Amino acid sequence: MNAKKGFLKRFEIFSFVLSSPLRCSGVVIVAILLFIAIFAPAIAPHDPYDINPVNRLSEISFTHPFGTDHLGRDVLSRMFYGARTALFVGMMGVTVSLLMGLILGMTAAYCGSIIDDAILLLFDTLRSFPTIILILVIISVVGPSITNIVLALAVTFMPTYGRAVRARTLSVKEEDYVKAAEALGARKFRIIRSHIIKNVIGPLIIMGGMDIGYMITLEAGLSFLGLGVPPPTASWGKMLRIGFDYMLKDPLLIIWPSIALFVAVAGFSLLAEALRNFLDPSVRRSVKGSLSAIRSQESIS
Amino acid sequence: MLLEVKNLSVEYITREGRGYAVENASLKIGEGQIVGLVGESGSGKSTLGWSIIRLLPGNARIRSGNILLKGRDIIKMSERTLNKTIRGKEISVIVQDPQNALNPVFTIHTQINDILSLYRKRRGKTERKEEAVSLLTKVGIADARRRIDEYPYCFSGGMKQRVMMVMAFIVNPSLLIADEPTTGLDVTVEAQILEHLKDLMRQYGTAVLYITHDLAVISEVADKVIVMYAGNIVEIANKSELFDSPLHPYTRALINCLPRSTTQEDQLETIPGSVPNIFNLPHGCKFHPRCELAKQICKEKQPLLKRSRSSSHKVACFLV
Amino acid sequence: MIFIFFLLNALPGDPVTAMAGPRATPEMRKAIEEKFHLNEPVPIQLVYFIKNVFQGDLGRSIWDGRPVLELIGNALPNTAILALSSLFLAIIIGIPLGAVSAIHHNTFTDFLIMGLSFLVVSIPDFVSALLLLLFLSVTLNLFPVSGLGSGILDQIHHLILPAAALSLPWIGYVARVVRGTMLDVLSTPYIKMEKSFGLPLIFIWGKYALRNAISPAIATLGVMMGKLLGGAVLIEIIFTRPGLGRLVAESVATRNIPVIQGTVLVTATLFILSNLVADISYMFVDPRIRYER
Repeated sequence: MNAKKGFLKRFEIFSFVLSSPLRCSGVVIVAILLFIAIFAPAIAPHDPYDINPVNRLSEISFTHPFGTDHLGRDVLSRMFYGARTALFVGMMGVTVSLLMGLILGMTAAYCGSIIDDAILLLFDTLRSFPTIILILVIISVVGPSITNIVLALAVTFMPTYGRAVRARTLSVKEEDYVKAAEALGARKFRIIRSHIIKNVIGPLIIMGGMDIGYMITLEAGLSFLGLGVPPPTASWGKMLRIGFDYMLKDPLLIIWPSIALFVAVAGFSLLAEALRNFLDPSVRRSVKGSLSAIRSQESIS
Repeated sequence: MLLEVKNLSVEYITREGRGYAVENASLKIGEGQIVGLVGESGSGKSTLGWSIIRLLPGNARIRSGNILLKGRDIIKMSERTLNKTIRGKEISVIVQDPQNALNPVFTIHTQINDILSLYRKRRGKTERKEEAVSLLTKVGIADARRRIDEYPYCFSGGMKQRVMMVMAFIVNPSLLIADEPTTGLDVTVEAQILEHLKDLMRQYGTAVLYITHDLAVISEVADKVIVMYAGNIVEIANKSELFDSPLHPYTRALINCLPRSTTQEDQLETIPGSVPNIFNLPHGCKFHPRCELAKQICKEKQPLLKRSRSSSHKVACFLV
Repeated sequence: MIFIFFLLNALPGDPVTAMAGPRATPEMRKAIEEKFHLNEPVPIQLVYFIKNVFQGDLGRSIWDGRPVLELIGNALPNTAILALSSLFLAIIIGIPLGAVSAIHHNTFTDFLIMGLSFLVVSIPDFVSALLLLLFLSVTLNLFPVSGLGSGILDQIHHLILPAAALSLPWIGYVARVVRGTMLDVLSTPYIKMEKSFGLPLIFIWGKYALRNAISPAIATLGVMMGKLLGGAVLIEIIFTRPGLGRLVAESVATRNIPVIQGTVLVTATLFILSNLVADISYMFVDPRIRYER
């Protein structure tokens, strides 16, 4: 029976996605980005780290479709590798953050009293800082590296997820089927966890999905400031910085990573929105209108 | 004739399909006349009522018909003219749920004042407030002067209903459409509201289209009664005619369903079956699946409203 | 939330201790140790000490010895102006756009506005800053590239581009929120009633519907304000405006600990304050909430 359900579900997803060009594009964009990111080494025309001072800031040409940057590196290749950075940071960041939030939130909800208070304290403390500031401070303490960035992002976003998980767990905990399971003498952690997790994960994934774009932005911002991924790793943020520094000499340098960032954020947003619409059948308004509703609720609490 | 509705049909378009909430409805309301529009939920009575003032939800369409108010066709009017000349001026509405009828973030004073300033252009601020206070006092709101500056949530259901009546009558309309105004209120409050309503009607000479599912209320208030079922008007008669000799099987069943205090009966009468979904209406006479007198012709053709017995009594049934 | 206030005092101590450790050069370390009595056994004492110091003295910048308070005092107004103008833009442009979009629900206007909103929300603020800078300043030479400007008119001239870039995503966001709430409001029974009384439509939209629609938007604006105050970092750097965000970024890059401490404290406080203000104004707009409190 479970196998059949799974099969039908996949069908639903397909028809749902294809039904709207918007949703379609979200999935398509992300798919393309993933493809680029994963196969970057294979499809990039040049080595992105290949410094070639002779060729600095060259124009668009056949060999260098997007030109070269101030160190003579091929921009297109750096774009592809930048996709790797961006997607990795964005997706890993969200995943780690979700996991942290999940564990802490559930622990808080389940253990109650002191532990709950302590965790809430942690959450509130973290939340009292503006996002960028917090990340800056954390990075400055631990030093910039991809892992650290991912961790910093994870920690910054963790309270939001953690609170949501905690709230949800608290309410699910009181549901009848959980009490029934308890009454049947279920080993507390195992079986109840599987019940509760199923309920909590849905909205969580949606929240996370919407934040992927934001994380990508933050990574780019950090790299722009020079506090992001260390050289020579390519990052769209760093490309923007280069573009900024050389704005007067080669304006095109700014445009490519800008487009990339926009496409990435837009793609993930659309995907997240499509996911949300899929899981929530009451789609009354037009696709673009509802994203904000969840956001505003989140930020208030 | 104050209001004449001719062959009105209203369709709803939703994701689940299309359906006619009102089909080929015709009725007349004379000056100062109180007409009761009776039907169960889903009969289309509210749709009919709101169509007259063209405030239907976005997915409703008026497909055919004329609505003549003092000779002018409302359906053909532009939205602007409608808003300026008809709504609030000639026709007013009061609704069922007083909880939701008043804007919660503005005081009662503001809301009444806005209507007043629209229609009493020459009066000053203080004068308008005086008028508002006196209007509220007349409908029985105690301590109106103080309470007028409060917000709707401070008022009880009955009081909100009264405020609404005040607002509807400020403009001295020729026709008031009352969409289940007392449903959901306590019986005692209901009685009070009806009294106030009658007072206002007498005072201003307003005609009323009283929409309700409660025959008991109709028997108190109305001069003429229109019975609707699943989008069709099935019977029109004077009050006395209707209650003395109901012709349509549905009307008869409705009257039977009224709990009677005179006879000792164990069970309340009900009509078997339920009101059809507008997307899935039966062929022929819409009532036939629930009608014990149904014949073959009832399943095939739709009966039209025709005169019977007296000129004021019309019924849509093959078997009368 | 007020409880968090006190938390704040405790926190900056934490990273600072960590920072003073591995990052500082030996001479700096000695200086810091002396100044902050780090050789004291318990770091918590450090926190208490700093707390007292916060009675007015936020310490001094490592590099140039100027009091941190002064640095912040100079920087804050600039950031505030930028933030406020962005807020202003977001309100003036975002709210009407959202309302119009809702009123013309499902028409071309609606899709256009929502499409643009989506576009704008997806572009990170510094990217649009860069693009604006590129096209409007460098290429077309319409706006100055950097700095604050002198004299009111010139200052406004310098303010336009950064404020625009900063506010763009928020305009889109606010428009969407307002559209959402407006749609809800427009379908309520009381709006229907007001229509039935013959009140002119524009009046209904402008006064009644908007008032109802705004309250959720206020929460958003509060959050926005908080984020703006802390988050203008990149824009300030791009447009070379001396502001709080830039101060933080620079001090982080140079490991200027007291400055970091001070600015983080101030930024966080402002953040919390603006959230509180948003909460409170929520109360004023929706009278129902007043009584619940």
